[in-house]
Amino acid sequence: MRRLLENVLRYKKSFVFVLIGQIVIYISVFGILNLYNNAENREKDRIESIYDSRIEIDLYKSQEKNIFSEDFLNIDRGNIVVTKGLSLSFSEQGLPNIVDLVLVNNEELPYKLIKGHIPGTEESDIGRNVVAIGRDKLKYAYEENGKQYITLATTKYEVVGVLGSNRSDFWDYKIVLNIHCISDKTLESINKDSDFKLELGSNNIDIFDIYKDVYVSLKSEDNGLNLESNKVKGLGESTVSTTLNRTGLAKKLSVALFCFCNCLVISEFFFIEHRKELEIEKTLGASNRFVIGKLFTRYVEISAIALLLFLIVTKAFEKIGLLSNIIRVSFINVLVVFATIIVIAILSLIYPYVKVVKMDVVEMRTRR
Amino acid sequence: MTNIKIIFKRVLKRPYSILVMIAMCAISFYMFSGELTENVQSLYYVHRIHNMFGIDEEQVGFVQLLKSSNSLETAIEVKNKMNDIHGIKGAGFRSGYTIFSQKSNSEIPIFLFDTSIIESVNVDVDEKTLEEMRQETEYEPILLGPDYKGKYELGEVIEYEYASYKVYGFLKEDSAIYHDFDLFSGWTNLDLYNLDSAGVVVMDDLTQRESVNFSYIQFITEKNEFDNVAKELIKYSLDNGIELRVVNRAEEIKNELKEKNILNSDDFYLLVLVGVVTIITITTMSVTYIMLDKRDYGILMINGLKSKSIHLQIILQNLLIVMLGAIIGWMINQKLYYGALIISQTDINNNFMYLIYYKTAMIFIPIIMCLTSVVIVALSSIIPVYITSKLRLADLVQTENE
Repeated sequence: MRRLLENVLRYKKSFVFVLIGQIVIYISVFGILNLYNNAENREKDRIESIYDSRIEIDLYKSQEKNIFSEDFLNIDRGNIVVTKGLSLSFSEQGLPNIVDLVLVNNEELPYKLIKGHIPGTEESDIGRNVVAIGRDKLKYAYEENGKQYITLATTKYEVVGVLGSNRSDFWDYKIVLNIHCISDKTLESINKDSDFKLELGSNNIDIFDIYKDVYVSLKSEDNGLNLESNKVKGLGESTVSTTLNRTGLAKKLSVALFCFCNCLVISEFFFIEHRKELEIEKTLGASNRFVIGKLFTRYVEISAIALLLFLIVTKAFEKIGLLSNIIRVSFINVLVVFATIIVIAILSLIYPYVKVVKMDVVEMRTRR
Repeated sequence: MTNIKIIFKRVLKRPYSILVMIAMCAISFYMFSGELTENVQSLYYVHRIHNMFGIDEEQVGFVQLLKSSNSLETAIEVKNKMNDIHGIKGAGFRSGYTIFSQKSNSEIPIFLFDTSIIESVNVDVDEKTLEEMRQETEYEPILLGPDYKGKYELGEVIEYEYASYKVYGFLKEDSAIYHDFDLFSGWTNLDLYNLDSAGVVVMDDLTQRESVNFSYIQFITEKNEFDNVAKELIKYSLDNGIELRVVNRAEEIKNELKEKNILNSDDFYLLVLVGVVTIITITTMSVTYIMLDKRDYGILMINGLKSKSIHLQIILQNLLIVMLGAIIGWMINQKLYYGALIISQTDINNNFMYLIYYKTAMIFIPIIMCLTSVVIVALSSIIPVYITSKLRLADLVQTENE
């Protein structure tokens, strides 16, 4: 360790300069990794919420009325949920919010909870006004008698569940209601919506088995109803690229590019500071390979010190709450950081390599 | 001129590192201008929005009726209730459409207002004219934008299919009205909100018109009363099962400014870091070049070059690197953000959008970037200039060029 420090600190200016450059590189690399990990985790949560067998139905009502008859709500297989298109005013937030409405619940629902339960999954919920909301929405809830409430479509709802995942924000903005646990006023408001999406899903049966019942039941309530149904196979379209674009990957990549340029400039300075030493070594008969290898080792040593310093500072900031959890140790992350160090070292040694190869030993001897 | 020649020779001596430093500056300025574009556009837009109000935005708001409550009957009920709430100065509706005038051979956008909310918009109309307009029963009383001065006379009647409009006056230049819905929900048809070539009709009860926009009830409160009024309205909506939301205009503006503020950007710390690294890099490389060219400087000084000229050369060399980087960074941003280096009005249908884009991209951002470049050059030249000022002629000449 002492030898390593002596080695890298021999050229203090190069050391400081390279160190700063390397730390900026780690900030950008870990920033990109963090974005990518978040997008991947979000995607994992999305995939886990997908049923083995599912049908999506886009509904366009011809009149403002309740199309969910008793027969429909009594379907005894699979789950049926309104997943898009229903919006209700959320007084505490001051904005209308899209809600999921559970219509039929015969299997475990795909929602992830960090607390409580999904409305309608406990007997005591039936007939009461209850809701499950995402972590982000919880900040709008108010407390009364030790319970939390929110106001949807002018009805007071007790929060019986908090949605959320340990690894991403996929569930944080959701609001889930059950048709058996909402007020008449809310139902009236829901009936005003003319188009929305129904999801029929099951992990136990082929959901197509109940499709006919669903179709007949809906059509018998509204003959002019327009349905566009799709049996969805596979995992659907990945959301990773969308999430990455939304979270500013382009800017992080710009910083990475900036860092590479910085390395190239640093390499000239690095070479100039080491030139005398290299000239002597070359004069004494050292091969180009030996000289460049030595520079490479020194560069990697400084990179390792910079990485250590970056990890210590970041962890300290995370501890005192100034930073969220940026550094995650995983095989891919370790691999990417290792590859970055090597690539940066190689890029940074292109200039010194060209200069070392061009060094004229005879001319140097004459000059000395 | 000699200085410039020397700088160019020195730059050509090290094209590799100079080019990479220019690339570094270009990337950092591209990032900076990207962040600035949103920020400056938003600031300019907000500046124009302030112009749309006749009173402090804190006192202005709207109630939006939602879903099951979105009907004319409920709107009238809510508006009547609002007139009873303590702290509300006035509540009313607005509407708008376009008529075609044969005389000016053009379409005239017409905006209709309830008298109770007219003071909230930037329409300067004196009490006497307002009273006369309210007394008018035969025609729709209209105030025309300044563009129609000379084309129409006071008292003249503009005939249209469904109604006839009598001219009661002309608006001041740059009169404007705010959107009837959210201020920042869309930037289409923004020109309509400038009244230079539009008309304003003021009426006592707009609900008599078929075209009234009843989903939004505009209102004005007394000073510092908005929060109390909003609470009252929410309580009323919950008690009566009316789905609505209450929005304060000042709050909208505040939220927009907060969201678009460059200091609140997640990437702001990265920008600062990139800026600092750029300064450190340029400083270090300048010092390195001085050390490498010591002997050259010594010879130039023997031949009469003053140390001030050497300082100037260092500053100009840094300026060249930073300014070239800034220009390239600005050009990349222009191409990626606007699709063209020079923004042309033919690419943008809307005059107001064009004005915002043009002023932001072609005036404000270049000025800010020039000032930033000067700061970067100044900071990165301090150490090199200090070092050269400490070097004596004897030291310079004795030194071998490295």
